[in-house]
Amino acid sequence: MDRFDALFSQLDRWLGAVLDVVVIGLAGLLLLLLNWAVFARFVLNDSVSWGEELPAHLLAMLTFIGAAYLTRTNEHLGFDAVLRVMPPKMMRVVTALNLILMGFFGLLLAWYGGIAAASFGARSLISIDAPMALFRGAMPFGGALIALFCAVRLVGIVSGRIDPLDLLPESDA
Amino acid sequence: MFLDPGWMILILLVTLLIAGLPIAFVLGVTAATMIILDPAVMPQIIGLIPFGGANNYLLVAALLFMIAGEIMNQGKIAEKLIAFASSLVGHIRGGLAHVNILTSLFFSEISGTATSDAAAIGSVMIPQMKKRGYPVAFAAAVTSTSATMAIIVPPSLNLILYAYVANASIAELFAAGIVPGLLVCALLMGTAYAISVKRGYPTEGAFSFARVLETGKDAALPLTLPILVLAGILGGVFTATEAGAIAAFWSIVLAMGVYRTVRMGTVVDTLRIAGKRSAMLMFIVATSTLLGWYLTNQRIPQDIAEAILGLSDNYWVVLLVINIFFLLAGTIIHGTPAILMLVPIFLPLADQLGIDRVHFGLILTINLGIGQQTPPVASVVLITCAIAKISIAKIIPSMLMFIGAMLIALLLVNVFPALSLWLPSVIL
Repeated sequence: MDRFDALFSQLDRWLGAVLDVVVIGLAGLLLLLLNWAVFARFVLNDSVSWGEELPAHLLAMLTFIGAAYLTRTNEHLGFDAVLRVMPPKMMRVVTALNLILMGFFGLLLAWYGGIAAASFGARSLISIDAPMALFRGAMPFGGALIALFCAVRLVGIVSGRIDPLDLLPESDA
Repeated sequence: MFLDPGWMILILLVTLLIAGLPIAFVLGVTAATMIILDPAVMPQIIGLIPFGGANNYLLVAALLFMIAGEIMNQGKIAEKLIAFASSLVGHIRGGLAHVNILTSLFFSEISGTATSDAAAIGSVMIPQMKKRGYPVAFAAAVTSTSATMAIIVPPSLNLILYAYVANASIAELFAAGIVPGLLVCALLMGTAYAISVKRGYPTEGAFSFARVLETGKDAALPLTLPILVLAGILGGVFTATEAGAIAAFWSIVLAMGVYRTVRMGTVVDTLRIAGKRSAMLMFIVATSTLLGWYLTNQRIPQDIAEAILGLSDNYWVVLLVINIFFLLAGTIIHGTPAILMLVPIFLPLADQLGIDRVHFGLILTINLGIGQQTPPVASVVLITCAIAKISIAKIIPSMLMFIGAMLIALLLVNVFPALSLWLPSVIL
């Protein structure tokens, strides 16, 4: 069990590091691309063809991969004033139910998002030769990661190894 | 379905929200449940609609303005704005309170978010106000309430989001936010003045034109940013997203190249913070788009509009009901989900009443700004309290007068649509 735990926490840390790099990379790429688009339009007088379509698709990638990252770091925005004042046992049960619902929604995104991404096949974006499935794939990928992170946390909550208070989203109470 | 879809959605939303499920998942799980239970809807839609919601060029602007605001925050740019504001209004009774409010207005024109505003201004102004003998609760109350201007004046992220949901012109909304923003600023300064006179708070020396010029020189570069952004968008030279790119680039040049207050590591940290905040916002957008699609599919917003108009079709009564609803919603939901949840429901009602969409956007954002100055959802107040090291319970009494001033601004904007619609009609 200890080896299993160690393996999982190592995988969790590794995934966290990868997601961190991806989120920083996508935000940085959007910053660079949009500035290049502005420079090309106003200075070079030669607008880029991908000026709107590519940044919008990159933002969609950032959305779903970032959502998985936020699930791992427990930073999704929420209203937890009631949950915080619940008796400990009830808080544990409600947190477990929340994780099940989040994981379920992650699975739905992964399954139906996967079907949608596959249906776009080898099609490219209109303005640039980049496969649409690459961008569409971020949704099933992010959904699957959300489900994975929720499953790991659910095991921790049920076994008592994780305190529900550690999983609460950003607090406003 | 064993229950009317509208009621079932309401019950699911309220239950899941109270249970502490993150808001993006509250919206997503509710929408997915309704879609799966409804035999008339293909569940494959779950794989299409959220991506469509997140795949949005206009909302890239939100990420870019977040980067600009955060760089300005980390780069200690606020201090230069404070010195300039101090030279302009420091001589008035309660000088530092006015400096705090005016700097908030300047910084609002750069940051677009009330939380960045409160963090940047509060960390400098609250200790200074404490040193000059102002009660901590008063200093925190001024900081927190004045930060609200960031969601009213351009480049307000809430207005960008509203433009997307309501399909309204972002240029018109930005122009429409300027006069109400100045009105809120004037009313907050008036309130601070009245309190300062009554309590005998100090001034910061006599007015000196030489000092205005000297500090103005230091603040000129940061202040070029909002001028550039506004002139560019309102002049139709560039889009809001391009303006965001220019703002982010210019803030990095200023902080790294000119003032040397930020290093590469800070830029990477800023990209992480802005990337995560943007993902947080956009995931709510994605899941709310799914719920919005289902609501529209079931004609629920139209039904709600008809039900409210069935109670009364008097313009002012319905407007009052809408305002009360927005205010209450603002106290329990954050600005982003509130806009995404409420606009699709109330926009048909506003359209039927003949309320201009730009004016409606301003009414909504001012309401949400006021609502977010009160618990349980009060991120700005929380940040201010953390900086001031004071509890929310202690700051609330000091905030009441300022919240009252903002309510007066809200009333005026409601009663006189020209306050928001005049400027766009003149310059656009």
